[in-house]
Amino acid sequence: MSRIRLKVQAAVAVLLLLLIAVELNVVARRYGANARVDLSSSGRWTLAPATRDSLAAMQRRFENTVRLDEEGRQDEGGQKRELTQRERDDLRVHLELYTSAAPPPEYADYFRETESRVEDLRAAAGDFLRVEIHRLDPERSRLEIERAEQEGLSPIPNLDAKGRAERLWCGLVLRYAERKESAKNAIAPFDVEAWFVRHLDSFLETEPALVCVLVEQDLKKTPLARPGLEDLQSFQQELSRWIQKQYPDAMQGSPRAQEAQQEAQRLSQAHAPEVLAKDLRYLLRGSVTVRPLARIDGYNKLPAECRLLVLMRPSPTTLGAEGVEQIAAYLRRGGNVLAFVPRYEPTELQQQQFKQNDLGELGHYLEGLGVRVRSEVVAQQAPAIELQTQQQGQSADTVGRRRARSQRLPFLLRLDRADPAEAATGAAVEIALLRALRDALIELQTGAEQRAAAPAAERDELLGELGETARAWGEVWAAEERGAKAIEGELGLWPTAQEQQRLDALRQRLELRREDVASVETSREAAELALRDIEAQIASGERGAAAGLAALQQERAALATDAAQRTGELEALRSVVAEAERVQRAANLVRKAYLAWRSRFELSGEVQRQEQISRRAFVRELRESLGALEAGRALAPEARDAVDNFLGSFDLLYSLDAYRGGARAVVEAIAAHLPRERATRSDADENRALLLRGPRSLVDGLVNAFLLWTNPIELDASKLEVRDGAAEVAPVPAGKLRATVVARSATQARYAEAPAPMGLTRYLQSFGFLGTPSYEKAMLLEAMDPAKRSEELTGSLPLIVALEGEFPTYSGARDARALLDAVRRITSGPWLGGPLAFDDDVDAPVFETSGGWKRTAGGAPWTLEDLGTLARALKEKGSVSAPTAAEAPRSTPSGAAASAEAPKSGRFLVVPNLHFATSAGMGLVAQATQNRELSSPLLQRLLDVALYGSETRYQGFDQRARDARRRLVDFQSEETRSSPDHRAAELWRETLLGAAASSTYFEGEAEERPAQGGSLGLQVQSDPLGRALERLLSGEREAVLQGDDPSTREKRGLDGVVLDIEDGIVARAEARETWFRVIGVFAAPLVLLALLVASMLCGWLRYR
Amino acid sequence: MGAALAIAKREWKAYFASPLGFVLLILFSLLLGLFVYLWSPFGVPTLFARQSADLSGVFAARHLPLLFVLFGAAISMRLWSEERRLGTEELLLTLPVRPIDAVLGKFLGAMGMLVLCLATTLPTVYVVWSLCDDPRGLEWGPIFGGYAGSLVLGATCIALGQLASAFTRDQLVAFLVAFTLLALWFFLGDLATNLAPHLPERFAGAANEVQQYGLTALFDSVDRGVILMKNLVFLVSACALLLGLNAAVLTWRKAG
Repeated sequence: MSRIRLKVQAAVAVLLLLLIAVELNVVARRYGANARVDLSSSGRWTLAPATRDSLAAMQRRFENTVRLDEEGRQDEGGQKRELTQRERDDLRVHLELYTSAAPPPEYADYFRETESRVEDLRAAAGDFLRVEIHRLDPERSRLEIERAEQEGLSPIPNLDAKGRAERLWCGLVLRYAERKESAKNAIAPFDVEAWFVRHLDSFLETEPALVCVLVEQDLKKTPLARPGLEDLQSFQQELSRWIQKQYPDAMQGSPRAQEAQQEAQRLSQAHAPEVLAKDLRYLLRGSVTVRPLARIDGYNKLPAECRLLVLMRPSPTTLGAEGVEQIAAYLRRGGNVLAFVPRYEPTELQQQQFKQNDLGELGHYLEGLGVRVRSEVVAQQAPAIELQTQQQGQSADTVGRRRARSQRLPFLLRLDRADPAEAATGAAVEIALLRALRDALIELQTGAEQRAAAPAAERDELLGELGETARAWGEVWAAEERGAKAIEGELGLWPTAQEQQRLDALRQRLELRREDVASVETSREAAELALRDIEAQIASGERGAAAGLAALQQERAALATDAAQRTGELEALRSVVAEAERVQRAANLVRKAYLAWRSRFELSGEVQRQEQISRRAFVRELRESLGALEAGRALAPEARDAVDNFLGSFDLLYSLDAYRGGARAVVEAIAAHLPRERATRSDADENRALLLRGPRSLVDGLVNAFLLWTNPIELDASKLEVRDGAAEVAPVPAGKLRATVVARSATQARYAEAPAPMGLTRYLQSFGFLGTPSYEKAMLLEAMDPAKRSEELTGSLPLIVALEGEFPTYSGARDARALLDAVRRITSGPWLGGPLAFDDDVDAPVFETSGGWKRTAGGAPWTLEDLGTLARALKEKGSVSAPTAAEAPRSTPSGAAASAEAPKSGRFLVVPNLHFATSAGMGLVAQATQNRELSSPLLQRLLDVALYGSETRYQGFDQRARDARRRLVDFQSEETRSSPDHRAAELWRETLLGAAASSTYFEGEAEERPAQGGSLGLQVQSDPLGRALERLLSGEREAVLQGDDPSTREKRGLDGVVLDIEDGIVARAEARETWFRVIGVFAAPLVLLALLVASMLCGWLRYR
Repeated sequence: MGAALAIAKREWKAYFASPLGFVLLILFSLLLGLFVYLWSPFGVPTLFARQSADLSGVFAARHLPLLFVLFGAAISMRLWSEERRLGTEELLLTLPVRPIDAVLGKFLGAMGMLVLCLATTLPTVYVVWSLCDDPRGLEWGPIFGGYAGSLVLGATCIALGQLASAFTRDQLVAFLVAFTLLALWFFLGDLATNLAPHLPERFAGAANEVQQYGLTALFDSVDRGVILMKNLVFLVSACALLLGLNAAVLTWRKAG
């Protein structure tokens, strides 16, 4: 009986245990599906609390919707009817992951992490989320691949281990009701969680954030406001382009594409200011509510729930005194303002249809908000030029063209600059004047060419037109003189300290250049003398060796008869022969060294020749242009003579003073002629005096222009080392692009300026910025494993790259932005995007630095001090912490009083120039709501605050994202770094690349010649020097210089040598890896084996 | 508990009374070293290919579970079958030792062997630690988490093998039964995944549910230092249930 009881007890205990286990598992699966112990240092494998909140909110909403729907549906008996499975599915959020079935090993972790994060979301979400994971195999999943492509998830191109092209997928699609969002490339570091929640929140948003747009309602009623309307039209065209760019595949015929097309068409046709609000509404698509406001005053209040106020063309009309007070209070409450400042304002005067916006007045209003605004002189010059041109009664088209040009003059809105005598003012004037001069010359030259080909009648007509144009140009000059007068009035004595500093720097550069040329010549002569000596030595050595050999042969013949007796003497003679051969080899080495020297001198001579060719081409071009000007009877004979004298001696002018003197003579002649028709003699004298005395006179402009045209690209790192308090870099000249690079390996900045249309990728390659041959490769790098990526970039990735410049074409700016975006994505560290502006419009970039926020305006460059501070902070801390809310975007007025008045919690961003600002600003606003990728950190934070109430919403997640994967030592990189051979080869390669880059002047010229291929990325070589370099790199000379066995070295060149060195590095790295492999695999078994043997030995001993 | 510890000590010594224990340890460390450093049968990148300063290769979702299938069965095959073959089981049961204590003692002895198996991965920890190229050093949380998760998974495998061993007096049969059961468990996830598309819709969901209970799915996130509570609860409860069953079998046998 007790046995049975024992058995029953055991069975019951097991059953109880089973019940408890099942219950525990059910509870764990039901309520703790996503509970986990996350032992990673930052908890990066756990969903953020904000994410869980969003998921819970969506679940509640789903359950409510289902309940209400069921209550609303009754069957025939009047009973509540439950929703069918399909009806429930319609209410669910669907998340689909399209991922490769067999991702390559180097990306396997990323694919797995993405999938894991999707699984986490599935587990953490309730019933409302349906997750589907599609694993795509390119050979088997044809239907699913087609479906993915329909969803806009095109494959990611990749190269497999054997170098073959393969397609990868890792895309996400999120659907809710009629809305769909997709992300093509969800591989980490793509923020899957943030992306998901971002769109989930927008689905949830029942009361969208309110964005108020203050815009003048009666803009359209005023016919005189044409420029403003043109600005609007330009904005709408930009907007259309933006839509096409954002939805390229959607524009192919889907209903959404049609909607977008219709919307774009409507936008391009409409001019009403209300469209602005509509644009925003369309772009933000339900995530915010946009409310247009006509005015903010005592009667029209700023809504209390407004989260972002957009000021379009703030003016006294729209922004009364009470309005300013309201905005100030709004800022104090933590509100956010985005202001777009127009360039023109309509005027009631008949003579002047429009006037420059009075920034002083605007500044008066904005002062109350803690923002100080100061207008620039050049802004007042632009309408003057235009009005003068218009009064001459030219044709409407001509006026339109002139206006188009003058509108491109930069409008600078400078905020809180500490030094009022900023160099940018002068640069802007120079830019404006030089550009106007260049445009006029080009136009005249074009006219002259047409005139040569046209019949006589048309020629006369053209001549007449040229005369008119020349007169117009005279008016322009008059305006410029008045502008110069204004400059003098505003800026005072010349030269300012900064101008003098710049001129001194230029003079020093020229002096250094002359010294360099002299030293090269001296070295060359010395080398030639040395060569002659060496050749004489070689000749005498050869003669001596030949004589010695002959004597030896005679001796040998004699010795052959008596070999047995004179063996000792024969051995001695053999040693003498060996010595002679050694001498001959040494002579050969000396000859090869000389050849290396000679090739270098040939190189420098080639560079000089190319400079001269370029300089002469420019002189010829200028001479022809001025000839055309003279043909239009715009210049007096004495002016022409002065020009001819100057240009004739141009090739001999190698000093700054000589340039100045020549240019001064030209200007004297021009200035003496210009006032004759329209001004009195005294005016002419005064204007001439102004021109010649002014700190930014035309003389300096001409000198600068010549220097810029004749100097090749500079790659001079030594002059730009980062030091405390280093001098500022000069503003970027018009039409130029400057890249400032701080290398990761050293706190050293390098910069260069290039003609703007020059190929950006190749240009950046000349800095060692990208070790990749093309922009496409950079895009591929983005998807690479970090380890592989670092190999690819060979440690040369710079710490900071700041691009600055103005782009005369939209495509140039677009390319620059695309490149910046690509590079920013492939770099894991902090990134600074530079001020890139469309056309002449000037952005007001805001940068984040270690010390808080840095604002520059009007294209003013980063100082090296800024970059140095940032570089040091990055080097010391490893990263730059984001500024706190208190530090973040502040208006930073310079005065102490203004500082005290500045709002502490509010944020104010002023973007000058309506034309650019509206398009870029709207694009950024829309972009922010689409994918959280913004080029402006400030704007991103601003929008985060404005639209989501907090910029720290994903702070936890951000910390997780920053917790990068810890890496093992990369033996190959380590060996590469420690290899002096490799360093030397890379240095030489870099030098040659720099020389090749500096030998190519114009992109246009390069484009005319097809790519010739190249082993080092020198796809384009447009001159003899480039071709010579290419030959050198491909091995023709290298074989001579190396002097090794010709059969193996002949065709290999520098790349062959580098490959050999790299083979050695790889072998050493693999040897080190193998050593650690042996430890890992065999250490434990060997120890255990030893223990086993010892134990057996002990047993055996005990047995004995 | 004292009796359990005494039995565990005896079992521990028994492993090293013959070369079996050493052979098992050497084979375990060699196979795992092969997977981590040279070649993985499941396509997991090797340590130097991944370049990650962690033990993801050791705690990969299929490496340790596969070794536990093999070595869990090998470690546990002799626990009861050896006693029955030598006729010492009756002697043990007549001693004043509760069946559950006997079960726990043998289980702890086998777990000691499992701990030694895991200790053979310490040279890999040394390699990763010495080659870590990060100023923050190694991330120890996931490493400790990996060992903890491995112990829990290995304990469940041993409990299953111990139960199989209780039904036979032949070690080889015990090994084969335990190995088969563990291998089925190992491939359960793959089976369910492959079967799901061919099943009717109402069973497809069940197949997906079953997939989550596969040995590899239960160990999936351990290499990242994430221990999912649902998996932990499942493994611990399964281990307890298997040991309880083992004790029940002994009780029944003792009761005649």
